[in-house]
Amino acid sequence: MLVDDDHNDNFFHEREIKKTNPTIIVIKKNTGLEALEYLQSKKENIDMLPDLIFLDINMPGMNGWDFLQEYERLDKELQSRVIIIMLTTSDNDDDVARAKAWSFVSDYITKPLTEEIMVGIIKKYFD
Amino acid sequence: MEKRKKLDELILENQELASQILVAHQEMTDELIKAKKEFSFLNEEKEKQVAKLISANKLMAEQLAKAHQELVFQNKEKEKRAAELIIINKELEQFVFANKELKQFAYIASHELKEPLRTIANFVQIINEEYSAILDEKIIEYLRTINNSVKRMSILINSLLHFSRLGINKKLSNVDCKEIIDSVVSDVAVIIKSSNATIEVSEMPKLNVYEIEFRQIFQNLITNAIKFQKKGSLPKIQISSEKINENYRFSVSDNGIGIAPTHFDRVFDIFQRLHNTEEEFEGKGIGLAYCKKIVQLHQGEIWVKSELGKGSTFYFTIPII
Repeated sequence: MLVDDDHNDNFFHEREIKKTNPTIIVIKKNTGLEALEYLQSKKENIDMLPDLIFLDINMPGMNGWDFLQEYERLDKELQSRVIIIMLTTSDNDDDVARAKAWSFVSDYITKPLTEEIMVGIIKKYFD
Repeated sequence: MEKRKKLDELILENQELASQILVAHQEMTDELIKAKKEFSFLNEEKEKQVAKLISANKLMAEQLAKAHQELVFQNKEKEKRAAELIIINKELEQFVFANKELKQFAYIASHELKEPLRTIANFVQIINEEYSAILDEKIIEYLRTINNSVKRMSILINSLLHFSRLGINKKLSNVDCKEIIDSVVSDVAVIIKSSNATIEVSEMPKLNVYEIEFRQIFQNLITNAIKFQKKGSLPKIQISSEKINENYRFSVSDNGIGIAPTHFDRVFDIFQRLHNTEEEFEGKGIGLAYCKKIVQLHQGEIWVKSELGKGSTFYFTIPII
């Protein structure tokens, strides 16, 4: 699942993800709230949860940090199924440290997500 | 008869008593006179002392009045100065605030600029990948030009971002400048080797500096000294230090292309490059601006002396703290 308000980025990142495997289903959400609501809607159907979330920080309304705060309150079982990776423009050390402080944030990547990076992620988390 | 005798005796006794009383009276009178005399003498002394005391008192009162006046004046001066200080403090506060705002602005601006730039680069990539079959050579060339500009702008934005954050979280530590220079030299070993440069380092002090930033000064000056070299000549770099009053003055000399005197100040401005042809001397025009900012962070100064075609010497001072 791509959580990012920038449609161009979502478009490009989906394309890079599908280069590694065209059968991957990519869900795109434009705000933290939309993403959260989507996750909550799959509460009874946890097999439908995304395996991987790419989370932007700077979004209008519920931003990436707000999303993480809300996400922490979700069922632990729901959390255990999802890998969260920050995908953002910022390469600021403060942001990296802030993201790493969340135990359920697995990685921090600066945009753009490329086919090469995606291959690395699949190898690291899904092989 | 007996009665008469007793009377006579009594009379006699009385006479004696009377004469004794008289004598006692006389003596007492004498004493009194003497005492009176002494007393009046004492009185005179006392009066003199009182007079003296009065005049001393008067003097003290005068001095007190003067001191009081002086104090009032000083107080007024102090009040005036305090008022001035309040104004200066306010101005300083505003200045600090403005500076913070500006830094924040540079940070946000450069951050926001990155996003559309990335979109341009991404879509150039998509065109290249999806339409390669129908692109003619001209379009491919144009796309390459767009890409190069995007890359350059991306470098500029990152530099600006870095520049705006320079010195945040800085930490003062005691470092051996010789060790710093040695580690910079080993970091740039590849370009030193490829350019056959020689680097001479004289005696160096131990100083309290912002280590990461301080290191960057030498890194930039040394790479510049190697980069701006005449064709066919081997770079010779000399690094030395000298204690002058409360400062250490460092210098980095080269035998490179040199700088014209009209550019002595401009070289330290951000994004100012003296050489237009990127192929000849590649650069972002930011290295010396960094140096200047870092030196200023240490409350020091930086300047250059140079002669075209002969070489340049960059000087900077770091106060001993």
